[in-house]
Amino acid sequence: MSGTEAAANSTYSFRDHTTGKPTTTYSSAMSSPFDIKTFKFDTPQFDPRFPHVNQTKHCAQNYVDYHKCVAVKGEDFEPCQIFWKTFTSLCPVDWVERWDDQREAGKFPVKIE
Amino acid sequence: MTWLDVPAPWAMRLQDAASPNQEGIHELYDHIMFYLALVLGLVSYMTIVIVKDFTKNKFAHKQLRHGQTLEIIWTMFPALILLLMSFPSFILLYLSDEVLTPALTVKIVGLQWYWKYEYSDFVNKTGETLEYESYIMPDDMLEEGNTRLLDTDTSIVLPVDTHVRFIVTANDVMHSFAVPSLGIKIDATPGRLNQVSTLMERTGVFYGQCSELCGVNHALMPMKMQCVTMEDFLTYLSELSE
Ligand SMILES: [Cu+2]
Repeated sequence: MSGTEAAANSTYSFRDHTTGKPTTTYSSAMSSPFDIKTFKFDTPQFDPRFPHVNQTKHCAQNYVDYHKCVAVKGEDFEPCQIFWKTFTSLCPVDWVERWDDQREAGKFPVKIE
Repeated sequence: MTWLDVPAPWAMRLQDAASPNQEGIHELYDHIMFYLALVLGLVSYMTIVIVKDFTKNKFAHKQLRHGQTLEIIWTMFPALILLLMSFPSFILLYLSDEVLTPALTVKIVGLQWYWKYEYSDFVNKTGETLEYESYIMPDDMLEEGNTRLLDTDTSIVLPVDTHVRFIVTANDVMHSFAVPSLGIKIDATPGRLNQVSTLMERTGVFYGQCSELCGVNHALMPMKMQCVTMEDFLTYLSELSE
């Protein structure tokens, strides 16, 4: 069975990998997220605060903003997702894991509350 | 039509371009080479003439110790040429840096001595980011038609005619991500994210090599990029997300 068929025949959801909550749910009725008819690209766009080749702070700022946003508004607050999408698209997975560990240990250098 | 996308025996010129950036680089290169040839001709002609008959030559002037006009000319002329070269060069440089409306972000992480690619715009069924590593194809596993020191086990797969943003970084020492067909060369520095973008105008396979000396296996960490149609790209993503 090819990948597209397998995806089209199952129900599955995209999960926020920090909270574990589903973000969007796809079912066989909706077809796979990689169906050419419905597929849409979605990636962080140009941000005038970070116009340079160096995007390190673009990633870090959105990581901090996401956790500040969630700390104030709660994990279900929809507008926080834009920060989440931005930092996951820009930050290497290793960096996010390291920062998550630091936050859990209370050693993250930026105050989240 | 066959494109020159791999090194060829006795190849003297640049590989064929696959992105507007590289087309711009070719154009600038050809332009500058034209004037370079003119200057080379002029200087060689004058040198030969002066050496051949230095006694009765206007340029040679054996007894000349100071010439105001001559000094001005041979200062202004190179300065003007450099100035004329710098403008198109800077325009191209700053245009190449521009990342305006990317459709897709791919992270590229250099490690000793392989590359890791992360497609974090997409996640698999368990919510993890789509990521994989890419190692060089060892010599004893090469098949007829493969390129030695350039082919890898997995490659970066990207859709054609789509703005792609690369976020380039490293995990241990500095590396450099380079794809000549696309006109990309950017440092992969630990702790820093560098951004560069491309728009591939034709499908094909493009190769590159690590371009910052990074240790003993620096020559053994090539990058292979496959540019495919949108349909094939989506099939690839859904297979990756299984
Ligand atoms: Cu390297």
